[in-house]
Amino acid sequence: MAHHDQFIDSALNCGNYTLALKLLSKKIKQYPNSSYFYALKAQALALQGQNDQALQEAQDLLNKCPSDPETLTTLAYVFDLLDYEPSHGVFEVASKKYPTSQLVYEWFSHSVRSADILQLQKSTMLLTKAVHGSVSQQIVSSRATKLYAASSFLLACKCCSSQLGPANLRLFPMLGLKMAQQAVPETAQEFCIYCQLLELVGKKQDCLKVLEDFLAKENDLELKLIYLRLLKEEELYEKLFVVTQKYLVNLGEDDWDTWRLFVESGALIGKIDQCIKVIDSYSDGRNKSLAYLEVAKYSNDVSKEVYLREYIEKYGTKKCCFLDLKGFVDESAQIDPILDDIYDSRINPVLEGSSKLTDSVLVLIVNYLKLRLLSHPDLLHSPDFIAQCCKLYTATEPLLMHLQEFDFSAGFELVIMACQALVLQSETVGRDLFIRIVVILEAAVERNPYEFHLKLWLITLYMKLNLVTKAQTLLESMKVKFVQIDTLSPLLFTRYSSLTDKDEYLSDVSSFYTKNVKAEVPHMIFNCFQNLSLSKLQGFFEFSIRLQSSFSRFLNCLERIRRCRVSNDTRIIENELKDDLRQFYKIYRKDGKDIDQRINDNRDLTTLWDCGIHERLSEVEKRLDLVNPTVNLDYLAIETLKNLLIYDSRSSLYDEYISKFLELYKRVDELPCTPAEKWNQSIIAHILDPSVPMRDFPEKAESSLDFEFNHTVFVVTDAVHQLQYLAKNPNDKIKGGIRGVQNKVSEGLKGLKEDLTSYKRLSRKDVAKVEDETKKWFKSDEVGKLFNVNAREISTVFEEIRQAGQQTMGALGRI
Amino acid sequence: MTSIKPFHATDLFDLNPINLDPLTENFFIYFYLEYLSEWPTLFYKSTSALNTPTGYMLAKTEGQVAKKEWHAHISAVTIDPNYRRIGLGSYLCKTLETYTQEEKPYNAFFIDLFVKCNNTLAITFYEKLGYSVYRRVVGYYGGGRGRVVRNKVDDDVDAFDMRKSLRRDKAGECVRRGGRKVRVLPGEVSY
Repeated sequence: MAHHDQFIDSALNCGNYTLALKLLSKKIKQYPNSSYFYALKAQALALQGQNDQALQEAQDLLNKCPSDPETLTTLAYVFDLLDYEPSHGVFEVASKKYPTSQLVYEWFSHSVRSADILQLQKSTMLLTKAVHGSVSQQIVSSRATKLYAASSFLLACKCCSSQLGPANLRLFPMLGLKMAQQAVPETAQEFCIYCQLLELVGKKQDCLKVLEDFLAKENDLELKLIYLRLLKEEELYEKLFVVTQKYLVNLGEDDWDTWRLFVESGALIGKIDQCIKVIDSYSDGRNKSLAYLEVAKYSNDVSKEVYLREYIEKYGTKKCCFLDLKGFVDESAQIDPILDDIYDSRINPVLEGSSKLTDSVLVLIVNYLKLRLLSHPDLLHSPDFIAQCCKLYTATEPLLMHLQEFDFSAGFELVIMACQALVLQSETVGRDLFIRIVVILEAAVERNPYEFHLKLWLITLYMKLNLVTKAQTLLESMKVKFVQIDTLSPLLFTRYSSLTDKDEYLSDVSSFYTKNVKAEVPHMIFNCFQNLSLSKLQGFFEFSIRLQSSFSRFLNCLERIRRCRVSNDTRIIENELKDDLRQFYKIYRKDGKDIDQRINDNRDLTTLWDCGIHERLSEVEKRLDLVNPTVNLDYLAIETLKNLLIYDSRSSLYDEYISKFLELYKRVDELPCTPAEKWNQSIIAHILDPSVPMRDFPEKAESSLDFEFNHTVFVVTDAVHQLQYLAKNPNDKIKGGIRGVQNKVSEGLKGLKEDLTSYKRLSRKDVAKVEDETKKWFKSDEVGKLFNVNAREISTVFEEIRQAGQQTMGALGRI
Repeated sequence: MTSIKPFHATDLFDLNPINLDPLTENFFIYFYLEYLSEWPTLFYKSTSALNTPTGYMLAKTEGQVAKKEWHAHISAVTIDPNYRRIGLGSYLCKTLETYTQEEKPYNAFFIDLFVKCNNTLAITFYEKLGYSVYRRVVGYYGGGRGRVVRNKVDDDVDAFDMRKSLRRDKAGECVRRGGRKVRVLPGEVSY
């Protein structure tokens, strides 16, 4: 049984390991039989860097087979710290020695908390025996443990297949099925697991029979989907045709996937005419209209053009029209005559004033242009396209006056499409272009204040313009929270610490992982087991694993490290953030296919592009990425390794860090790093291997409205701090002379930095100059004039830019 | 094109186009996961042909059968702005009816939901689907601020508890006429 001691806990938490060891030695004398203090001793030794002694202590303790859960948790942590993987998990060793239901349940709980599916499988299997054998009051019923075990076998097969090996891949479904059969499934949730296991062992006919019997009694959605998928996979098209027809017609389930399977099976068994009859007699709706188009894929008797036209006539005034048709429209321009007719009959009269402008017409206009662009992507290169977007936007602008609160107008898409074309058609990509687009989008968002795509574009652009406070205000206005922190916040915090010295935002992001995720997710997984909501378990585990190994989480950690280092706060790095770096690397080096063997990138890089033709436009993206490029896993890896090389010199993996870092550095020109970052990496590469040359000192940006302006100063300042740390904490793996490099870099920084007054003066001058140029462009340039932005709107935008610019310069003054 | 599919925890990563809407609430993770684990079949999504979520229904069951209060409660139903005004909200609500009729395991007497009294658009929407106001919950959206008095109504902070009877409520005992005039306090709404 553990005896917590707050003094020891605080000594460990604040990094005073010598004191912790002293206190522990007293405790061990006082409680010589308490395994927990021995485990803590091993932990303190490991944290202090006495790896060999720590490992010895931990192994000695493990050999004594402690059974206290906290001791076991601590021991698992110690092995993790030491990068040591015992042949069997600590809970596994203990549980097998003392298979009491309580201890095995602790093992199960530990597996849930760490989202370790393979340990979960082992622990639930043992739990079936432990609970079965025990006569005392059970934590969980014997039947439930069998269902837990069956689900865990299934999870292992679904999520960890590449780690199982061929024998277990065959064995696990069989054992899982046996468990499920012993439990005798009753509910839809239980049948869901049972059927998937039947499928995995190859008993697909049996599975179909079970599904048929169950679905005859209860129309469960999850089981229905398995049933239909299995009928298709088994090529039972006659049956599939009958069953889908039953769902569509008899049960009235107007479901698109069912329609698609109905048409496909009908086509494959030569009953396409019957399909058409069913569609004809079905009640009107989008699915019905699209079902004709689906039929057209298989039958030449059905004209795709006729039904495309019919669909646009019916639903062209709905925003979903484009997305519904996207899969049916290709570049063969089949849609052109339809769009021409729509333009002549319904859009042009509005533009000429002979027909009334309504919200429906606006949506029709937007769909018209989106479909046109989809079938002719080259339009983005045409100046006429920008003119057309602007003309249509201007014509529909009066509607913005009547926008209801919280509603947003579809017209924003015309603006975004015009801006995307502008990016492609501009001769140069940089400050002036970004500022122009910001002005256009700010004018649009002022009239359409709840439109979030406009805001996402603005956030991206403000970061490129070195105006981080503007980007942050916008993101905060969108109330991004909880899971959105993982998916959307990287838009703001990528390279955030190279633009500002503020910490709050990065800490908030970090809290989401350490507080929300840690406290909420495991608890809910237990809930899921307890309620036997077995069909949801895979989603829960995947959700948990994706957050634990989240790209955004580790990226935020890098940002926090830079922020701490620039502010001379290495304590947080050593005590807290270093662990995250190590965790990243442990997952990264697995480089596996399974979800728990890789870094999971949950960033939402698509919502920004969910307008226009709803695709990431690679040409536009490439041009935008010339400044503050979107980062990827290689970036995350090289930057993490750089930090591990600085802070984790005692790791047994240190040699691996070096070789992996140098390997990545060899292809640094292909990585999405800025010139300053590449220069910083070259310093580390050079001191590890003096034959690697240091890159030229990064150039300072001329304008304060340039991302590189703050970024370069921050990165160089950070590099000075990195070298200082390495000089103070030398390790024998670093072969190059740090002092010489340090002097060079510090000299360079002196040439780069100015005082706060100069920065602020420069910013004022820059903003005034750019404002003038921007006003001229909107007033006199042939393209600029099209956007119809007036001088007052430009002045308003620049007033805010001026303030944000001063704040950005303030950050430079503080470092 | 619309399909109905079960919601899974990992779908939470893909909700931005729906949840960035200013009127859609983003809840704590545990809230979504609790619904998934407690009422797995009452949390489902509509999807596009590309299999991306276009809307979702978050519902639960509560109440005592003996008191004929056993019912499904719509906690949230929301639609991607690109898929609004095409009847998708109605479709999600009607789907809930099919899941909670005599169908095992729910078999509820009625479905209910709370809506702000000033949200006329939503009230009309639910009325068209057959819901009616059962009672006004005074101060429901007041966030516990200020003293709530039964006689002091305020459309900005009061909620209408709207209900629709299901087949199990054979005699229509779970709904009433003139419900707008019936007032209760938030503390009185418990099951």
